[in-house]
Amino acid sequence: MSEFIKILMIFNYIVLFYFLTLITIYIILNLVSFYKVLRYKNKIEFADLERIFKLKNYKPISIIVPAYNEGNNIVENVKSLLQLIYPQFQLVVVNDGSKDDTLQKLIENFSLKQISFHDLYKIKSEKINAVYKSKEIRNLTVVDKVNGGKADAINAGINVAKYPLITVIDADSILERDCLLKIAQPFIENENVVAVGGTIRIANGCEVKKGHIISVGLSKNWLARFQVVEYLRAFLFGRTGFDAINGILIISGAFSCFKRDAVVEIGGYRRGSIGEDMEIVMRLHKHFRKINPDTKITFIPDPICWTEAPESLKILMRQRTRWQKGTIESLLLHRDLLFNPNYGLMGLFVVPYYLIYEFFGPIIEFIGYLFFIVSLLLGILSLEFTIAFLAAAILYGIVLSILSVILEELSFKKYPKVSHLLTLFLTAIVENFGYRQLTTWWRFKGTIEFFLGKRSWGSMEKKGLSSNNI
Amino acid sequence: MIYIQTKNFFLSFGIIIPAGKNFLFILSQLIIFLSIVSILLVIVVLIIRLIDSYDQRRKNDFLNKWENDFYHYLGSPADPNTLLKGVKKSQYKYLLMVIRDLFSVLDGKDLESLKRIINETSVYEFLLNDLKSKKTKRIIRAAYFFGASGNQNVKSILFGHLYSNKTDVFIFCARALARINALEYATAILHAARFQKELSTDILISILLEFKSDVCNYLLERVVLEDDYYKRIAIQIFRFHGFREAAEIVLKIFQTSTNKKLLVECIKYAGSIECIDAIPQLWEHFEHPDIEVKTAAIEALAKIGGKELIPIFVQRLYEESFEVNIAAAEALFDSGEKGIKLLKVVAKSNSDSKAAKVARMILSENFIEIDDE
Repeated sequence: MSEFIKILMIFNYIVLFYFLTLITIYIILNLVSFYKVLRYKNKIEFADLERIFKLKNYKPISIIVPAYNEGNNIVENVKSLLQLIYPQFQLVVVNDGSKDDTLQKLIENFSLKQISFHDLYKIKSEKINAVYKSKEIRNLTVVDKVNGGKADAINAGINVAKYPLITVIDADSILERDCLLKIAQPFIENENVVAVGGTIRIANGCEVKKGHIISVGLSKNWLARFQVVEYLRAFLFGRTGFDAINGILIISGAFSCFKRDAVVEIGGYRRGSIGEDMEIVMRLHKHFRKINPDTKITFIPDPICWTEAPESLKILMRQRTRWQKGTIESLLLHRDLLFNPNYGLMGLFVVPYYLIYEFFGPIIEFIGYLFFIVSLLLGILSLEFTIAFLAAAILYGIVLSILSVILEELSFKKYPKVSHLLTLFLTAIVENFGYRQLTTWWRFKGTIEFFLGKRSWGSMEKKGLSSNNI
Repeated sequence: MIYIQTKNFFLSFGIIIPAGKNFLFILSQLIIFLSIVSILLVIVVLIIRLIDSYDQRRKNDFLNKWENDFYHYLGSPADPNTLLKGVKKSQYKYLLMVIRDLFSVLDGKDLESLKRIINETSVYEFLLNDLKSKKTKRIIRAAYFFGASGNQNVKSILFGHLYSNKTDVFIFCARALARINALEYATAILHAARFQKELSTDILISILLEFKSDVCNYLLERVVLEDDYYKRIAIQIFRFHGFREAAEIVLKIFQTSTNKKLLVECIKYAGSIECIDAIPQLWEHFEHPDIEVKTAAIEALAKIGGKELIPIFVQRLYEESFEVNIAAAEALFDSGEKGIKLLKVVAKSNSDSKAAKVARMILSENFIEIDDE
């Protein structure tokens, strides 16, 4: 029994250590992010991007949109994408073997005609059945291929991408009209940039018309609200903070931009990958920083892309378990980056951070909750101590969330009403009672499933963002 | 044993783990601290929002009062000082917000009226103080407005900022000088750019493109004296402005240079101005071992045109590199009826060959049927 108690105590110390180090890291990330976001905001205010990009030396972009069973929204989404502000871009919609009428709708609405096709870069993908082009809209290309998953569809899209930059977006993403100007800017500012990620926000509760956000709002659904706060924390603090040390390990698949030649050089996306967006970023770091240590993968804090968040527990659970599996998969595939000084602070700090707090984090947290309960029952920990510790942890989480709301308020001010702010504060408090524990459980479940070999992508039904308040 | 080791491990990290009541005391203090911080932060956010709303209201009040007069003023020869008579200094930030939004949409007389507000009123002094300050944010704002309004009086101050160790300050001040078309500072911008570690060539070119096309004459005077970096950038500027007067010098550089990036720029320039004199050299570069150089040469020759080149383009359809194949097929397509005919012949010739596939792709992309004759 005494041995068991000692183990319990050791684990409690580990949880404490984990908690204290995490707090320290978050504080540092917060400080860095405040500096970076506010600096970015000052710069972008007078950047006059639309005029600068008219000065001829812009880089044309191929936008790749993998689409699977998107028949309900695809026409409206393509129309809205064609209205993006950028001097020259090609839109490549990849129909990834949809079972619905996605392709038919595209053919009918855009008068597509099949053209002869030859893949330019020979990146591996499932068989391409046909490539279509529109006579009226010359910058629209549609690829019809055998289903192979998102990464595979992107690879097929890259094979027909004509331009030096490729932007990968989800078919249901809603983009700000000037998003391409903003995401292309880092490539012009720094020749060493090979990839740029954008900030994703939750569109649930916003008024959407013809593929554009008309007014920003908050969903009445609590799950969607929790995700709003989560996304604010993740994008405004996490990624901005890591960007300062060139340590971005993941750029969201909902909106990312790459140098085409860089992606082609590493053979495109890893087919069948669960976390393709993280895996490709790690592979880009690994490949290009060996050749050029100044290679940069960066991130812009401007909220330029809006996405629909799952509003049901079942779908959210699938998403979170998949994200966890994707993280583990990428970390294991690129474990040679861990503590590798050749990759600077990314190898020495960011990858270990992901290993400890993202890979092992859910395990430590989940077992921590269990051990806390057992310790409490065995009388090792007093009730007062347990309550006090949990209260401190929850309050710290609330402080972090409020800080991200402050940063949003100081920079982009996307939520117009005071009631939105009050709702966000309330959400920041409520999420600690159930939601956080639930996400920990899902991530823990994802970890277990990964090692049990359950590594499929799973389906992600969405309501759709077309022309309504969602 | 493990327990003691763990405890020692934490102690060795300087984390003194208090036991029992002490720990509870620390935790309770931490809770009080975090609670106060949370409440304070919420108050901070609400205050920020309150200030913002107040600011927005003041802005709206200002605009309601001022907007009508402002739109009457736009395009008229009226004195801008009369317009700003009732405007307090504290309202300048709203004024500048309006002006900033309008700078990108107005032109002609309206734009001139806008510039006069910056150049001929007390707004000038206000922005001048910004430009002389040491704060990046203020310098950026002032540089933007002086650049957009083409203010000639602040050139020397803007020049002073070119050697700032802050890249943003360099970019905005250099851009302002370029928008003012301060030609005498073009070389200074190029030189100061070398001290900016975080500055890319693309940004530098975008700055130089802000100058009017007469910057080309200025760059041309110095291009022979300068190094490859300067030459490469100057040639790009010549190309973007379609500046034909540089042809002779660029051709000389083309003949002598071994720098690949510079060669590519010379080739692109020759193509863009359709320089017939460059054909023999471009021809030579058809055989260049570097694909980028070879592709650029094909593209340049396609732009210059000439039916005698068509057989050469056809040959290039059979090369190993895809980039070269596609450039050649596009060149054939661009060279008109004869080129398209040949593309059709290649497309039909051997359906499995790479050349046939590329030819079919280019024809089909342009909605031309192979068997339409």
